[in-house]
Amino acid sequence: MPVRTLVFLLALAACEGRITGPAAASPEVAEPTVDAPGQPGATPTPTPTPGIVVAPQRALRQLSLDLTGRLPSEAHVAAVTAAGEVPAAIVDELLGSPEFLSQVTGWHAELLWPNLSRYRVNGIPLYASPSRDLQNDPLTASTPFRNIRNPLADPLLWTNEVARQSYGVSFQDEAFTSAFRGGAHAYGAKTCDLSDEWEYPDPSAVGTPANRYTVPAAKSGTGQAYTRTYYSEDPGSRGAVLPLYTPKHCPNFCRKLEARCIPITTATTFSFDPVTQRLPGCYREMDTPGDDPAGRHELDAPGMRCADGYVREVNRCHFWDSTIPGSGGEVLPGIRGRRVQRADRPVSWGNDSFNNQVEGWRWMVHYWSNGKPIKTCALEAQEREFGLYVRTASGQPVRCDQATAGVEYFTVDSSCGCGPRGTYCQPVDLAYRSTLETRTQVNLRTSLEQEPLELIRQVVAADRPYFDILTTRQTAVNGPLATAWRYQAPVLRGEGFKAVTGPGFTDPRALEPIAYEDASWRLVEREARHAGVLTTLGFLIRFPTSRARVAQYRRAFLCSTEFDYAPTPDPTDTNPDLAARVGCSSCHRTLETEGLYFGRYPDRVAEYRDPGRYPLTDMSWQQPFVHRTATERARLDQGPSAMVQRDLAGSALVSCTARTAAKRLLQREPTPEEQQTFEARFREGGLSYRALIKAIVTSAGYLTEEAP
Amino acid sequence: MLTRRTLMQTGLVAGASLFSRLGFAQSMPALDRARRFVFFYLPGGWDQLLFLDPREEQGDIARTDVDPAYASFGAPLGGGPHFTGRVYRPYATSRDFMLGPGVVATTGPGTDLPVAGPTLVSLASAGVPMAIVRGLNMGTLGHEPGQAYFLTAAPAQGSAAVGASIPIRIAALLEDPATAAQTLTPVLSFGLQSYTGDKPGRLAAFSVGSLDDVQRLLARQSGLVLSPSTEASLGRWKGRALEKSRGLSRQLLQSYEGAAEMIEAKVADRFDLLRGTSPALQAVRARYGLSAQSNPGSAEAVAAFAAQAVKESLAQFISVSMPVGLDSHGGDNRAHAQAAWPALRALSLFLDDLRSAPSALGGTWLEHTTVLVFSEFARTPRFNVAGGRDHHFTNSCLLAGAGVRAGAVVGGSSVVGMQPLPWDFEGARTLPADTPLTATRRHLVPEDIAATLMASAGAPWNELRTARPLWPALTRAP
Amino acid sequence: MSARSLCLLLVTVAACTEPPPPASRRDALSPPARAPRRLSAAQLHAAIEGATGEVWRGPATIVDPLSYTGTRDAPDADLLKLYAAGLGAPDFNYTVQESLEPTITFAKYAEDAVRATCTAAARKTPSTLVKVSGDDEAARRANATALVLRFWGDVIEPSSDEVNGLLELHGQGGWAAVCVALATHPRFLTF
Repeated sequence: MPVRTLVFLLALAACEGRITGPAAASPEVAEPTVDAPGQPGATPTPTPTPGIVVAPQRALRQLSLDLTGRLPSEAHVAAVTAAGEVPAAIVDELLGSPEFLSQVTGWHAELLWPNLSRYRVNGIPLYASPSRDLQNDPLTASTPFRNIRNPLADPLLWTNEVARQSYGVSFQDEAFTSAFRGGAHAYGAKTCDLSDEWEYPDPSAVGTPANRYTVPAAKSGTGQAYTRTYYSEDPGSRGAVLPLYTPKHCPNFCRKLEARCIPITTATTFSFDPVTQRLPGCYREMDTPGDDPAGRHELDAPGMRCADGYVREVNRCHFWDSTIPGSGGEVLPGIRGRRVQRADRPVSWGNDSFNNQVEGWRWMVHYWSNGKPIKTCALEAQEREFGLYVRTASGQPVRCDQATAGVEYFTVDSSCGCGPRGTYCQPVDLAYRSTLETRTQVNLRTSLEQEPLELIRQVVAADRPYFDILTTRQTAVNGPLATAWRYQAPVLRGEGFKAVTGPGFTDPRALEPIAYEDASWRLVEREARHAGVLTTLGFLIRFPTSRARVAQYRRAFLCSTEFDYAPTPDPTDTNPDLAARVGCSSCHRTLETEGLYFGRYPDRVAEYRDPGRYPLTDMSWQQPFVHRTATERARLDQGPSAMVQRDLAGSALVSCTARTAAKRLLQREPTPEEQQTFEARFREGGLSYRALIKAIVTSAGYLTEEAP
Repeated sequence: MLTRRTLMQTGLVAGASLFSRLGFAQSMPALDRARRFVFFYLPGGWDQLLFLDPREEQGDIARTDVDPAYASFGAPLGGGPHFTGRVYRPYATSRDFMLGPGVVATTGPGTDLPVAGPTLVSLASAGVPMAIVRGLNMGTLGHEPGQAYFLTAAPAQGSAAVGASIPIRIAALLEDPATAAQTLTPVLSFGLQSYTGDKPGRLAAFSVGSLDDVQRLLARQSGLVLSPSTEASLGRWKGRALEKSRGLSRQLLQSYEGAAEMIEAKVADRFDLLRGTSPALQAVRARYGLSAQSNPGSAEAVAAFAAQAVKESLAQFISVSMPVGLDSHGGDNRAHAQAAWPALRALSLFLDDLRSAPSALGGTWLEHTTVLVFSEFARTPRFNVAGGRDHHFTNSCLLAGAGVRAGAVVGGSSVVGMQPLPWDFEGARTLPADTPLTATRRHLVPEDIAATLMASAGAPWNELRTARPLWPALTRAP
Repeated sequence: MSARSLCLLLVTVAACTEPPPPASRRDALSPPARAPRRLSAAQLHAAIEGATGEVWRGPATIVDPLSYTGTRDAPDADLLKLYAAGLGAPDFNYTVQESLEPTITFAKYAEDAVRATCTAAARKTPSTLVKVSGDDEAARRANATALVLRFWGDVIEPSSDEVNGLLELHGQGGWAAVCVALATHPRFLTF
């Protein structure tokens, strides 16, 4: 697809608002096109009629409903009846109530539209522990784990185009789909068999079944006594030190599991490489000497032991027989293996190796399961401290609670499982009700929706300058968000297929731990780049493009009407710069240039492109802004808070905020005099939102009603 | 009642005798107060290349910027209906009336054999009048304003709808306070926003979100019913309040009256689609493939309800939101067609139902019902990097049933870029893309659709200001 | 088409939308009256609870992510919250502003809620609907007046026509009927 077309399509896709009329076409674009206060506004107002003053008790009712959403208390009614008016102290009391703050957040919801249900917020380590009670009603099929919704069920995520671009394969290719649990065959098929009556044994506690063998671990580099346990049907393997893969003995087979050679009957999907003596698609030979620069056996690496001191070889059943090709041609371990053998049963391979191996399960209490053990697929149930596959640049193993950091989710170290209490994982869609969310998804989504509103609540509650909500580094977190940020942030996704760096905590693990169940909110500091609600993940996902973000900011906080009217495009004008194309420019001149402030938060990806990795001198990531001048592109580095600060220097933010509140409370446009008064009181009050609302509800116009 | 201004407008259009060479009827329809209207909304924005504005050939994509990609229809993965890459032309005499590959699901990959049951193509071939409006310029790419625009025939301001919904607008024009109401309630909205604007409260929508809502709203639980004498006293109390009321208070009290009338009619049983035991409801279930276990929110259930609401005269204006999600930025042709298919199948069942259902007004119900099928906008003619299509403003809509000229097509989109083409209201033809726009040579907009609906029932459309009905190019006298 | 002609067209179209009232007329009405507003879904819920002390509860199928199917049958769901969308509450997805339309659906749900809560309140001992107790007419008039103040925020004369009407209702259906009448009145439903 030509770049021009691409830009055009993206531009169209991103234009969330109406294309504006030519009146908005100003090259500076800093000042929005708005209806002047006192003029006909966005909401057609009925023809004003002279008002009469509302009786005191009715006035109290109006104040209570507006400021607290409730009828007045009987005590307030009595006080008003006694005084013959609404005492100022009652207005202050209403404005000081917690219910007032809830009203304020409700009003702001109409500005920020906090609903992410359309955007499929999902965590990456995603796995399948259904939220129902599996003890009583086990599933026969489960959806998995960390990565990934099935690519077929989620065309948004994996499409041919993405696959081709990223990996040079399409998702119909076996080599690619095998990166997904169960591969292409997993769609609707069994993966981890939770209906199996046997729990996958904890190797630290399991007995010695007839086919269980213990052998010395020849490759231990630390001198530590170490044995290796495996299960085999082949008594001849007793005492043997067995390589995992011996092409010499099995030239025509792909997999060698313990003592057995496993015939591959789906050989058409694999071709044996005579040079490497390997078959693409075979599991990684993790026990090969020399993998670890320190010469140690991998399983001896510190922390690879479980907390109870045992080494759990739940991976010995070759979880990771699948691979995905890396960008440099190397072979990376797949995120999810295909089938995991039951530890206490012989391996059984049939004609179709995809469908005969069955992964086991274990009971596990998850962070979200209210203390209840949940049947959990064996792969998720791992608790390693260090992963087996992902290495640092210097070749060191990576701690599992950091294994996700800085990597794309599809290279998350699958040997880490979900960690203690399943902390690294989020349950994903369940096959049997794929359109519904699991509990953690609901918690994450609703918390992301609530986060900007909570920030607003706290700013207003503290009578801080109102526009802190658009500029502050702070944001609000609760239990579900803190858990997500601390353990899952790098692999959370918004709409799209890239990792989320949106939360922007310098070190999420330094966040104060908050219990997952803790629904209360507190403020925390983010990186300096942040801009209040505008860079909350919820806002960035809800308004998934720079243009949509700018349009919403301008509509909500600058009362901009510039996107309300659509001019007619000129089909003969194919200028790829929408800021200049006839018909488009009237809207896009603003959207393109102002959108640059959000440019480091790419479209449809909840990612932040930091200046260190993405300098302005590097044009490769600035393709969407190719038509902008260097001066305009400087806004990329300034970020949304600079945009707000610039607007704060003018009058539009204050004016619009006062007007929006006044319209809501007066049920009409404020008169010019009222508008002037409200703005003045707002400024005199140090931009306290409460001061603004007080100015409106104590104005003469508020307590009037139409004459009967 | 026709106003003087209306008559002038009517005369203006009817006097455009140059239509005669096209063979269109000349006379303006008489006011049809009993006309039913059903609005099918497909949320999310639909791909017109697949449905109402297809291309016959792939063409040079580099030149046209239009990629129908019909060849991509293959064997679907993960189940779901199949489609061919062919374009359908059910009206043999109408060159322009083409339906895209997404309107007919087939029994398997690589076969042309359609699945069982009616389709838009089989219905059109069987004489069901359908017409297409193409090249509608939505002027917006936002879901909220687009939806509000098509619901109200007025451009949204921000995301806020302006004025009253089209059904309520038409209801206000057709209602005759002097005679008994045509239906139990005038306006019904299933899963859709409705806007009363400044219209009377008695026209405010009976809005429901589910079949369960219908049951809840049509009946009052016995525990909530007071003694007859108390009910009578309450009725008198409200009547006195209504006498003294105006404005919003009056609208509210009228809504209470409307709700009470619906309860008194005791029709809830007739809409218990999934569980009702009457032969009529059993027949409905058989026709739509429903059972007691069916999802009450399925497209078939929604369509069956809409048909039942017509047949039982529950409402004169019925809007339904089909339970499909078409906002598929990442899905390919096949995924998009699969997503829309339940709605199109249900729509086909609905039309087939009404065309065989005898009407109390004479003939069949389809002869008294005008159907509009729409979405808030269309999808880009090229694929994005994720292999899907984004929002595109060149939209189309489908009209069917009463007053619709079979096989008519109005408007069009450009070969290059699928841009809306100007429509010549006087010459009844599309014009080249670079034609200078005037009041009578301009892009079609949703206001024109609303005006067309009004005109087709003989109602004046002057409240729509600049809008012009696509009469008689699209519609005919009933 | 040139940009100029486009502008002209747009200006023409824009000019056809709502014309602004003359500024002088607006200025003459200072301050103009505040128009009445229908209670929002949340305000209706709170107002009914505030007036009657009751919440309308009943059996319903509710969304529950913990359940097997994603929904479950709840014996005592908060029905007005459940029907909030029908009352006009936005979901901030496709609807981004509260609808304060006087719809039939609003009327039906609001009245059902009022009937349920008023009946429950009247059955309580002491009833939350009895502000002034006593069996004589003066007490009933005083109570009706107190309820009008509670429900509507209006101070009316105990001898007014309004109270006469309420007493007729009381004679038929007790304070529950009075409660229903008050809470289905626009004076309760608007502010």
